[in-house]
Formats: sequence, C-alpha cells, structure tokens
Amino acid sequence: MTRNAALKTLALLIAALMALSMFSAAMAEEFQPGPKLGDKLVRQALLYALDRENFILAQYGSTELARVGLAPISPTSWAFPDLSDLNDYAFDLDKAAALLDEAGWTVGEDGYRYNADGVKLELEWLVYEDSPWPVTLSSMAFDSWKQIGVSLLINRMDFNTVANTTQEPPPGEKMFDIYTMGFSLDADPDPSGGLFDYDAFSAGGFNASGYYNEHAQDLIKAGKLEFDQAKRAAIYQEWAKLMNEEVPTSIVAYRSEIWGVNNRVSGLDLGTYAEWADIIRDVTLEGDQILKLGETSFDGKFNPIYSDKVYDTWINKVVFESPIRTSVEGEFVPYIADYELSNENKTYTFTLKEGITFSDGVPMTSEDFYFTYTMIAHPEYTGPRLSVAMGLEGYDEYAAGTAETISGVEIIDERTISFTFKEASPANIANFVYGIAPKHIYDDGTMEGFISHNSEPVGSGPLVMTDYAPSQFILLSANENYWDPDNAVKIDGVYITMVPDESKIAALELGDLDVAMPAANIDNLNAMQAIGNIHVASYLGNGYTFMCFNTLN
Amino acid sequence: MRTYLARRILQIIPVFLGILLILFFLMEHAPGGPVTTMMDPRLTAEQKAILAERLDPKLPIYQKFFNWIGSALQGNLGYSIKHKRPVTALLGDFIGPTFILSFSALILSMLIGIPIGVLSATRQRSLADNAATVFSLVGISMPTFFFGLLLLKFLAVDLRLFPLYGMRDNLLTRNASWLTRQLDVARHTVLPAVVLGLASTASFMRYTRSSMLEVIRQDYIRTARAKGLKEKVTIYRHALRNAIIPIITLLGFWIPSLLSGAVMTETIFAYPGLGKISVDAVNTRDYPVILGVNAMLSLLTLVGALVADVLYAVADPRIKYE
Repeated sequence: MTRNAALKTLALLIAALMALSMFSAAMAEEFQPGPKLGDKLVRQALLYALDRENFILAQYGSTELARVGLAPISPTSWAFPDLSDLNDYAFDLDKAAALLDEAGWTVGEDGYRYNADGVKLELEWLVYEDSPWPVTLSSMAFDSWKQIGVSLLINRMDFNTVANTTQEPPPGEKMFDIYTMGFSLDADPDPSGGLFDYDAFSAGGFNASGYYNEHAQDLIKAGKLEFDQAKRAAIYQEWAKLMNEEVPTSIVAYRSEIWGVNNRVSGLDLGTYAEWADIIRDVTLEGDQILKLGETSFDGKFNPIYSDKVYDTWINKVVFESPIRTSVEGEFVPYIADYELSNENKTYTFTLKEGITFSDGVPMTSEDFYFTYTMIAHPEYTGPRLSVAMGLEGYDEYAAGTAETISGVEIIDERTISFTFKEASPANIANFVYGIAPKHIYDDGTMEGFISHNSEPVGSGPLVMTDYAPSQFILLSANENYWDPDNAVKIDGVYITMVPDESKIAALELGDLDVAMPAANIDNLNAMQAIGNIHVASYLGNGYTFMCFNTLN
Repeated sequence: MRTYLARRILQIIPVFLGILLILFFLMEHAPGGPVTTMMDPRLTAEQKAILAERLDPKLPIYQKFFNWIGSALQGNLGYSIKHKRPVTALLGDFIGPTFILSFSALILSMLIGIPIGVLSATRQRSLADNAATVFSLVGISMPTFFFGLLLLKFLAVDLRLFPLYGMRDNLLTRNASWLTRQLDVARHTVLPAVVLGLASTASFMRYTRSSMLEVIRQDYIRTARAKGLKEKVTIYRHALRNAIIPIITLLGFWIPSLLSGAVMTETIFAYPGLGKISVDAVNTRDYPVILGVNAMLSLLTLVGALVADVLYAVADPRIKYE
C-alpha cells in the first residue's frame, strides 16, 4: 500500500469513527436514572446511615465549628429557607434500612443488599487525600453503611484526579458513584452553572450527578429572571427544599472560620460577607500602628481580573475599588459607582462617584472602567472571570474578530459607562465586584504588559502596596492621596506575612501577629482561648463540603 | 582530560533531551489540567474549554516539545499558570532563598558529619563511636516535621532565640543597614538549616566512617605509620584524602538538591523555597513551572555528576581520564 492510500484509509477510518461517536452522542442525550443512586430512596438511606454530627465532632471537635449541611444555600443568606422545612437526615440506621427495603434492595446471604436483578449494592467513592476530612467521612461511611448492607469501595487519589474524573468526561462516561469536595457559596444564591444545574451536566461542567428534575430546572431559570428580591427568595427557598429532599448532591457541612485577634486591635468586624476594605477602615490599634496579619499563602496575582485565591483577592479588595460590592448581608450594593437598570433590565448604566483618584493622583474615568473590564475579553485572557465578558452583548462578534469593539459596552461621558447583557438577570450585577485598574499605568496594548503589574498593583483603594516578596510578605501602607478622606484607614498600614498553619497560634501568643485565621478545629480554638492577650472571633463562613451522587449509576 | 571533558559535555545533550521528552510525555498523560483547579462556579464548560485551549493548546506532543526548546533557547520558559508570572522570574524569586538554605545546611552537615565520621572510624567501638552511631541513626530516622516543630517549640517559642517563620522580618529591618538585614536573614536561616542538615549530617558521618575504616586498614597507611609519621598526618593527609572519594560522589549528587528545595522544611518554617512552589505546580498542573523547574534540576544533576567525576581526578591521582 502506498503512503497516500494508507493516509486515505486512515482519514476514512477517522471520519467513520467521528460519525459513530456523534451518532452515539445523539442516542445518549436522554439519560436514565440508574438503579442504585438514581433512586431517591437509596440516596436518602445513605444519608440517614451517615452520622454527620459525629463526623463533625471527629473532624472539627465541636459542633460550633461546623454545622450539618441542609441545602445548597448559605444559612447566612437572605434566600435560606426556614429550618423547619428542611430535613437534617439525623443518624437513623433503622430508617435507612427501611428505605432500602422499600426501594427493593434486600439483604442477601453475605449480609449485603441485592436488587431483584441480582445487582449488589456496591458503591465506589473517590476520596482525595489533600485534606483530611474526605478520608474521615468516607471511613465512617464504610463502617455504618456496611451495617445496612451497602458495600463501599474507597478509592484514594489526589484532588486534581478527583476533579478530572468527575468533571472532564462527557455525560454517561463519568466513572464514579460518589465523590466529595469542598467549595464556597457565593453571596448570590443563583445556582446556575453549578453542582445542581442540569445545564452544567456536560464534559467539563461542574454538575457530575446527572440528576434531572424539570421543576428544579424551571426554578433555577425563574430565579435568574426575577428582579424582585422577595419573590426571588421564595423561588430559591422552594428550590432548596426540593434539593434537600431529592439530595442528588448532599451538603455535608457548613464550615465556620475562627480568628485570633490581639487585644490591641479594635474595630475588626469579621463576618461571612464582610468586605476586607470595610473591615480595615474601622480598625484602630494601640501602640504600633501597623496591623500584623498572618496568612497561609498567596499566588501573587494582585490583579482584580486574575486573582482566584482568597488571599490574593483580599489584597485586591483593599488596593483596588470596584463599582459594586457585597453588603454584610450578602447583597450587592453600589460602591464607587451608582447604577441604573434600563432596556428591559439588560443595560446597567454606571456613574462613577465624583473625585475618585488613583493612588498616583490621576482621576479615575470611565476609560479606566472600560479598559479593565474589556481586558477580560482580550483573546489572551486566561483568568477565571471569562464569564463576565461572555455574557455581554457583542462579545461573540468581538471574539470572532468581526467587530472592533464590544457593542454592549459604551462610554457615555467621563464618568458614565453602560454595559448591556445578552440576557437580563439579577445575577449580572455580580459581574461588577472586580476592582478598576488605571489605564494610564496598565495599558501598553498587550496582555503581557497588563499582567506585568501583578506584583506591583496600583489602584484607588485605601491602601497601597509598598513592598512585596513572593511567598514571604506584603507591606501595605495607607494611601496618602485617598480620594475619600472620611473613609480613609486610621492605621499606618498592614504587614501580611506567610505563616505556616502550625505556627499561627504561637505567633499570636508571642505578639508576632495581631490577626490570624488558623484551621477551624477544637484544638486551635482551645489553644487560642487559653491565651490571655488575644480574643477569638468566629462566624459561619461561606465554605461548605458536599457529597455528590452519580444518579446515572 | 580535555577530550574526556568534551565527550562528557556532548553526552549531556542527548541525555537532557531524553529527560525532557519523558517529562513532556508524563505531563501529557497526567489526569486533570490547569483549568480543573480553577474552581469558579460561574465558569461554564464552554468557557473552561476556551481557557484550557489558551493555557495549554492542543498540539501534538513533538510540536509542544520543539516549541518549548525553541523559546527556552531564547531564555523564555513561558508563563506560570498559577502565578501569572514568567517562569524565569519565578525561578529568580526562589532560587536565592533556596540556595541560601540548602547551602547552609550542606556546609553545616559537612562541618559536623565528616570530622565525627573520621573520629568514630579512628576510635572504632569506643564510647564516642557508639554515641555517633546512635546520633546518626536518630538523625536519619527523625521525621523532618517532628524535629522542626520540636526546635520551634523550644528555641523559638520558649526561649525566643530564633524567629518562628519566614526568611526575614521586613517590618523591623526595612530601614536598617545592609549588614543588619543580612544578619536577620542568617537568624531566620539557622533553624531550617539545622533541620534540613540533620539527615545529611548523619549520612555524611556514616559514609565517612565506613570509607575511612576501609582505608585505614590499607597497607600504605601501615607503611605511613611504620615510617613514623604522626597519627594526625597519617589520618588527615593520607587516609582522609582517599576516604573522601565516595563523599565526592555524594556531593556531586548534592548540587541539584541544593536548588531543588525541601518541601517539608520550607513548609514548617515558611521559608520561600523552590520545593513548595514545585509541589504546588504539580498539584495545580502548572505545566510551564513543572517543566522549567525539572529542566533546570536535571541539567544540574548532569553537571553535578560531571563535576564529581572531575573532582575524583583531583582527589585521586590514580584516576586519569583519557
């Protein structure tokens, strides 16, 4: 066979394979719930047979430090349902066994359960070892599920492998029964695109459970369109109750955060949605006027449209200022810009407050706003905010190269700018919580030039970065040119050092640190409470852990 | 000697390329990717696919390989995905601290390990020898994190002799003189260097002892003694020089580890080294960093082995390379 002929055969073969795979994809579009986890009764039985309160005691040492999870909405959110409407699946092995009986799984000779087709109730749980809790939880499940006749296979791997196995493969090829992971809840309760949205059940999507419920999908859509907050809350409450009953993915626990704060610090009001820029404004110190803060690590992406690590984001929240921010209650409120909605709620017209200047004294204009937010649409942008630009009208044309600019973004005058979205949604406002960078410093026409400022950020915030050494420390000083003197910080600066978790409490005790957040467990809590010169602040954070059931199995 | 050197240097090139190829192959087949850990729930599958294509374009492996070599030759190792910083700049950030820490640890362990090794070989089965043996066994088997936390508890927390973490205290010394700042770095480096050096001190000691024991039984040592040479001269000039050859091998392989960092020690003391950065890079599949770090380390390993071979010839005139 000549080389050409061989190539032709190969091409034919590939074409045939592609056609076949497209055909099978079309065939598999409707997925059927599986016999095991596709049955709501089995999922509920598994939850009843998992003593989550005991797990919290074993892992965190106190029910003060984590709460049994109920629904995929933060308990501190305005959209959280009434507690009495939710089932907490309190540990009850008899109830679990009864549910399995009802579902048609009977105990065989070997003590394990089988269904009418002789299938054994055997489940595989993907457990990552990067943090200790999935190991604890799955070991507890192994013991208690065995008592109700469920055989559990624990498969240990690293985090990236769990994420990859559950998310990357297309629907129908996700090879797992159960996996667990930690996540954090946004201030906005909109669950679309997340763990519970059937639209995200895809190759690379976040939903791996494959659970489909028409009513739930309708509620998610309705919540995205409803602009009245009371009505919106009612929609999400109904949805949360439904998820609490159906449990395609169960929220294992809501987690608390604990902070040790030196008594020389006052005015430090921490909370789930408290913005760092707000917290720092009210802080006053006795003695030395620099607040010493200990952090575990930073990536060094001090750029509002690139940061994805909590600690990097903190820095960005005090060095930069955003049009919108979250209030203490978790609602989106105007910050350095007021806005109006028009055009059937699709267009947001922002007007920047008067007199805003960057720390170098140059006034902020709508050009800076435009520049920062359209950098997200830059063809070389590789940060996590892509969704912000993609929802804009005219983005597709711009990305395809058929338009010079994004038609949905328009500068109206020096301080006014409008953003038009393809679809109206109350969740769109969440796109404007990222800080504005000065065009005259950041813009050299390239993305490389833009991100070269990552380690020396310049913004309009109350603090400026004066010194930074990667993986060592960050020194922030009060912005002497701050445009809003009434809201300027009262201290000289913040010195943030990278401190290993094990040393945080010792450093607090020695006075090397004023503020630190050690891991929320009872040992750390007790150790901090025993120290005379510090006090403990704790609150329910927006972090949670979940357990996803593959409902196609 | 010159032809030997030329040949060895030429040999390094294909071996290095082979290592790179294996690295590329492994990364190609590692599950997950850099976008997998970008856990922003608002990113849809479509958006993640766009980002993945921009971060790690789907090219044939050989093309990725040649692209990388092409830009590496121009001094460009790409951008770190996690840190959004050029890999060369990132290496620059961390090589200095890594070197300071590892070099202090190495010097410390040689200064302690080799003399004690000699001592315990010359006084075999004495109390000192037994004590050194016990010490080296403890040193080799002591887990780093335990020893590190122990030192922190006693020397940093209770006695306040050393700082708890970090490489310098910028708040106290930012306006101080150059010397004060260097002393501050030294003060911060003592504990991590001791912890990092402990295991290698013990292995230097063991190597020196066994190699020395072998050498002092040789005929030429007996001759030296018979000639009436002082014991000190016999041991330190004649015996040690021959006993040191295996230690040189050890040293040759030490050079890359001088720069590879020590994850455990760096983590416990929050010392800004390459070890933690490279482990994080593997966990987040930060391919450019994994490649950059490993390419650098494998090159250093190859060079280290070469340097060791050359040092043999210096230490032992019987070894001649053609």
